[in-house]
Amino acid sequence: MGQRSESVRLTAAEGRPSVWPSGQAYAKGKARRRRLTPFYFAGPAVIFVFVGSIFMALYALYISFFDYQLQRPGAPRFVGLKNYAEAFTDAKLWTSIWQTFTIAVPALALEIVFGLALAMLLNRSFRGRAIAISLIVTPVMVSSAAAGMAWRLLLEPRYGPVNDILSRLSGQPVQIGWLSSVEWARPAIVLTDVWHMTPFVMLLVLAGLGSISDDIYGAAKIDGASGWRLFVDITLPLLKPILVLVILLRGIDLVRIFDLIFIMTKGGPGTITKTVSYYIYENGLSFFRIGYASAMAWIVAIFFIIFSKFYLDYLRKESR
Amino acid sequence: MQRSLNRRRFLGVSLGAASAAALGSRVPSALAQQTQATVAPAGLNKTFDNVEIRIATIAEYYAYAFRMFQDEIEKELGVKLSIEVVPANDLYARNMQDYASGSTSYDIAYFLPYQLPDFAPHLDPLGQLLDQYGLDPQLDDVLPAFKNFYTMWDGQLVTLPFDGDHHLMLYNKDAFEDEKLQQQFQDKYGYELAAPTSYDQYLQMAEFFQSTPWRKDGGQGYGTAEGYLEPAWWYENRLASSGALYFDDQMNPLINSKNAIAAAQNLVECAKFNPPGANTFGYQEVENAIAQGDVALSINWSSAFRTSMDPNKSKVVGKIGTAVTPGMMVNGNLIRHDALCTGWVLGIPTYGPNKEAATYVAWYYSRPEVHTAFILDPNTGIDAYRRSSIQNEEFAAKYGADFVKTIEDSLTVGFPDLQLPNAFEYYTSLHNQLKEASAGGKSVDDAMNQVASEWNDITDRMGREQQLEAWSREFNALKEAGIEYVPME
Repeated sequence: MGQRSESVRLTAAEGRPSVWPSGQAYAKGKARRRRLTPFYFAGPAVIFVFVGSIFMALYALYISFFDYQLQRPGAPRFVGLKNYAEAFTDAKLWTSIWQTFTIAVPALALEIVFGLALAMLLNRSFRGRAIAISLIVTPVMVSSAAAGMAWRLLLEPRYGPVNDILSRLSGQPVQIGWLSSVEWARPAIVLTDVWHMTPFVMLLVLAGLGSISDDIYGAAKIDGASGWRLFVDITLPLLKPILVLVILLRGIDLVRIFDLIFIMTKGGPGTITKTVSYYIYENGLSFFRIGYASAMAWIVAIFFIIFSKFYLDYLRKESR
Repeated sequence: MQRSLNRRRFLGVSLGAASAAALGSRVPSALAQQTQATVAPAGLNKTFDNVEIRIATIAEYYAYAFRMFQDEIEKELGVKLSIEVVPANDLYARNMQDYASGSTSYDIAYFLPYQLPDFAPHLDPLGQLLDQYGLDPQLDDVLPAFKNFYTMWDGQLVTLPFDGDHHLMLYNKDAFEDEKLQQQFQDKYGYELAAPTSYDQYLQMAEFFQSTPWRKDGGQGYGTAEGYLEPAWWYENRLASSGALYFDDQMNPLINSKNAIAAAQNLVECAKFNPPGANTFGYQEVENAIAQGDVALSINWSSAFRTSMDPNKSKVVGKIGTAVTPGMMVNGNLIRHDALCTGWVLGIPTYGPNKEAATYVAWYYSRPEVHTAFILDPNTGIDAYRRSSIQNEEFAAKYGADFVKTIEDSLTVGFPDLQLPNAFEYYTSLHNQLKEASAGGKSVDDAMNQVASEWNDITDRMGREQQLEAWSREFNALKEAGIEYVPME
């Protein structure tokens, strides 16, 4: 240590190690260090992502070729593509994908409509605007699990406030079993998700509205446009990039919906609200069909990657 | 008025629950102050040097039972207990994951007897351990239904019972002993109003009390309450009473047999006469419906009756009667079985580091004196499985001779859960289809055919031979107990 300290002693005149072989070599070393610096910073994150996501995904791919049932003694059996073949013919998987869309599509549509409406409403200066925005975004601050539990209580058939309000409005006792009836379980999940995530959509749209110059509206007004035409011909087209982002972010989030289902209905009544994430979870972590669940997860992932790619390509073409 | 009061109370409870969660860190110390029972065994000459034994249970009322003897066990055995509460399905998953990697998070395996085939390969033979340590489990005192179905695997003792679960029927005397209502019922259905002996009567009485005001406090009364969140447990009573079994001797499902479909039909029709939202009712909600005086009839675990006798939890102290669950007429004969559904047992995992201390603790909790203390306390949620506990004088004095007789009668006709490797998946299929049929999502026939098809798929996937071997054990045990398939004509 002492020796090393001595060898790298700096001279005040040159400001660099007195024992350095030459200025060129020093510059080379410095350049190399500079090249490597980003890797030092990114290294931990890259390792984390690799181990936490890529390795896991690759391991899931590996295990998807095995018949691996945790409760069955003995080592997992290699079965090649059998799990994939089974998944393609598993009616319950396709039903769960369909059920996911019956929740995701209305939820996404309502979130965009309400989010856009709220953003338009708040995209003007008025007293208490900041407070109003803060209050409206409160649901986003709540975790999905907490939102699910809160709504489970609100929708309780006999004593829940939702049925109470409906009873008062209709003048007769209303005791809808929101989470226990085949007709209402899905709308109840949609309602909860819309309540929870509409403010998120509103925030994004509000940011988008803020970036539209007032001059454009001014020019359109001079040309005689007003109200609805301003919204259709200026606001919506200029918001398109934001709306594409919203659809993608919320769409991805909704097709992997799990927490609300787990907390509110456990996929029921029966299998009415069993979404694809819940179905994969159930197979993997309740029935311990690890290999099969991994195969289904890969099929669904590939399906959504392809879907997203086509969606983005289509939008890119549209924007051209 | 009643409605708004109830709602206020409901919101109060919700707020209370939230506050309790916020004060979560204080809860364990508060619970630690619960009454400690002492029934220390004489002549116990074994002490451990502060060994820690980890146990997980699935509900606070079971943790309460474990804590009742926590201090005594520490004093008598020198064993410190670490008691954790984990959701039921998570506990099973955690244990299975641990065992797959050759380890265990808990020194004592606490599980449902229907999961015995999954747990047994990972448990030490408890009979041998008890012999080795000179501990007598007093199995002669354990009722045959529990001893035969819940503790033995492959002819060996592998578990000790902790909770002797079984269903029985409960009825509200305000509804059943009212002379006017009795007359109205007689006029409408042509027979006397009394605790139903068949499920057809049960359905008619549920219908009658759903549409006829019967509550003395003027509140909204309902016909019956059963747990449609996991309806297979409530279906099991009917399935057994229909003369069906889960499978025939070749492992072909009988769940879509004429008998089983008739049983399911009754369960589904009864759903109409439950309080709203019964599709989300589990044991606790059904128990509350009874204790709050909301329902005229119900089927639930026998601990629900003890709760109904607790003035701190019940509005109907002394007003609840009990009887064996109804039966079904099959080919002119009444068949009647109570489901021995779920239950909890204790085993010693092969992978635990302190198996001797764990064996002592499991033995301690299954001792007759301890079990009697459990069933005397309405806060434990534990049902009787020992003859001496059921016949205990204090128990009879506290809960009444009728209740004791119902338990005794009920346990002579007990019908066990399905015990197969991966039984959880078989039950999930049954729960789901019954739930969907009860909610009106599909016909009973379609639902039960779907269950049969899914059961066949699970059996093929798990290995038909292995499953048949496991089923044959239960099939033969049922046969020995006189329970056989009676095809419905």
